[in-house]
Amino acid sequence: MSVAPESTPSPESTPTPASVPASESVNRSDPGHPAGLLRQPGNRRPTGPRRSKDLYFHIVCIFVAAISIAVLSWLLFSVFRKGASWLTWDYVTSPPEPDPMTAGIFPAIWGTIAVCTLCALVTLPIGIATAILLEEFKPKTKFIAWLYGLIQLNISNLAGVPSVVYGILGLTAFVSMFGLFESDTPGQPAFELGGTSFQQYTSLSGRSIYFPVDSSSDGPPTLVDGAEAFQYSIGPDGRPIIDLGRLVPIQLNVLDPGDPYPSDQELKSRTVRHDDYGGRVHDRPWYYFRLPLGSGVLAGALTLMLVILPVVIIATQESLRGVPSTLRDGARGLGATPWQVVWNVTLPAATPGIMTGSILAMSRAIGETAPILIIAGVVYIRHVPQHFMDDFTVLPMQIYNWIDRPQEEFRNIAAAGILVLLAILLTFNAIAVLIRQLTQRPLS
Amino acid sequence: MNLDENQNAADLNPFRSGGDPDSDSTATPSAAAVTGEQDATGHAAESAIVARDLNSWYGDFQALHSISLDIPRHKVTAFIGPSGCGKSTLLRWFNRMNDTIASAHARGVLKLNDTDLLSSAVDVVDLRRRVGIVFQKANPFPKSIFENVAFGPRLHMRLSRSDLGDLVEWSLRKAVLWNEVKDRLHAPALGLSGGQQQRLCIARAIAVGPEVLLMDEPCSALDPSSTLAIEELMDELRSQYTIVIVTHNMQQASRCSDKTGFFFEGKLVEFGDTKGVFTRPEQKQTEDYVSGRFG
Repeated sequence: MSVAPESTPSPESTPTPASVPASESVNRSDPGHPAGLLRQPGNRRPTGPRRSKDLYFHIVCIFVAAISIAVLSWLLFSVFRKGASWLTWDYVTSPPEPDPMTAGIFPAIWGTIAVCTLCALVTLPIGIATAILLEEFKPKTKFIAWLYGLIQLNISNLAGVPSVVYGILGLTAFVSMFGLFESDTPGQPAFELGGTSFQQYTSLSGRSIYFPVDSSSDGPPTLVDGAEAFQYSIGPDGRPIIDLGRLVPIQLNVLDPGDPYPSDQELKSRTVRHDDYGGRVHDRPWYYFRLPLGSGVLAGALTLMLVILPVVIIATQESLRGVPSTLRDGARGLGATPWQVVWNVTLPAATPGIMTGSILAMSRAIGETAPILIIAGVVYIRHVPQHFMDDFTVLPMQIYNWIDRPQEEFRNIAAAGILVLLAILLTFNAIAVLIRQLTQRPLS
Repeated sequence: MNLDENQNAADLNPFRSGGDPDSDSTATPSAAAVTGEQDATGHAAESAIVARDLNSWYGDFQALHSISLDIPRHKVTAFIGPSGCGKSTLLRWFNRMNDTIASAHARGVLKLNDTDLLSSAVDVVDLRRRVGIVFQKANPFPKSIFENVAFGPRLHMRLSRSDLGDLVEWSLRKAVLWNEVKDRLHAPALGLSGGQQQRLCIARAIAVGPEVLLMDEPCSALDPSSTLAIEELMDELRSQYTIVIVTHNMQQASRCSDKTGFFFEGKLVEFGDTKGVFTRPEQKQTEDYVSGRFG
């Protein structure tokens, strides 16, 4: 047959051998039609380079997935091997110590929980509200539209800013508040609410005496005989109740030079030497507030808010955009106000997406180290934060602190800390996924 | 004028106590009878919606050219015409749904009773309660059947549980859906069939007690039996509601409407009694379209 010379003009048909004359004839019956090309034997579906390409791609995908799973499991395995035996109940309930054998991570756990919960409480309403404004309340004038564009541009840009930069912003905006609240005494807040300060002395009998002072004052106050001071109240068991909120008043007696040394036990217990310098203590309830915020829990939470706010806004916008406009039209057609449309229709339909975005954002906040490092620094914290202005440390900071030490044991307790961090992260995520499932159910 | 007020009283009462639907059906036919009388004389007050020289644009594109028509009260008016001829645009001006499109604007006169619909002072939220709309694609909310119907009334007023239940039942009965769903009112609405969903949307629309019901190709996604159900429903509703329906189905327009308007390229080519438009059209274009010669 003279098939081969005839088919030379078309380059596509040259690689196909003239072994299938039947289909060749089909091809020739409709030479001008593109469907004819599809019917050429070399392009039949199940064989040839297309099938092998598909196979290669499949193999590459499996390979890439395997690499990431392998790296993750290797990481988890090495952390587990180092830290698992150090992860004891004592470890999660004790404060950090200079001795790695007794050191624990309790304050850092509560620091992380406090900062991240506060961060979520601040970020989610602001972020979701911003996204609703940008998506659901479209601008009516040119100027507002321009403003919206500016906000949108900023949000997109902020999402890409390194978190250490947010740390510096947080330091300026929240910790020192641009120096707007300068007090007369350096290092003291200019404005305080709900806190009491005392100068603490030791009486001749050894009991502590608390003399109330102005929190913004510096140095010891002048003591005079007969001034009102405070002591711990004595409980029914005869021991003092260690609680600055439940002090009892006493009449202060100052032992000036030349005064006779008191012999009366009662008088001794409320007598202070005139040259006793004392020390400053503060009684701050949970609602204690000060300006500037200082490097406390609230400043940390607000700084983390800066880090995750763009993420929350963008995720919420995406899920609002995903709500079909027919639903909005349906509600509008019934006479719903714009707010009723958002609250009753759009927001419920977008909730799963918003929750997913928020979970991712919160996971990021839990693991974030750089901004906290700038806000709070590497500090030695032995107590759980008591109020919103209290000093704090978080798990990544504590881990960072330990990893930096030369002793091998500290690296092991750091590994145990990583396990705790992962556990908290997974718990947060599990709770959020659970909430998402519960909110999703009535909709579907 | 007096008559107008009476009708408004009957129609505007948004949540006529659903407790005994009979009281409504006795009240309204009498009003409809009066309407019929008035209609015979061709009185102007019989128009629910009046448009005069209405022009509308999307940005620079003019979608409607000088539309003038009167939509009769308590009748079914059908808009027919090829895609993109402006019939949906006009419909969406009747309850200002076009407000959601930033570039849409209109000039001319458009009145519902004596309210200027194009005025910026008009309260669109209240307008959309008075002028309900059913869309081409059934769009029940992802809630239960009951919640879907109760959605509208809840937006506007606080009702006791039993009143709300009565109102939902009344609306579903009106929409000829009650018997199919009465045992599963709290099942998800998205589990209903397409035709049931569309009737649910109609029930949802009439639950807020509108005066006018707009239907934007309500049957285009439905099978013939669901279409029939909705056409019967329209027949049922026409005694109490002014209905405007946009349809691509000319048989449907001829079957169930009293008046028909034929639109072409943004212009109202012909508007008149349905029988006349379909049997003795005045315009050549209309004749070509209704006889299937083009479109």
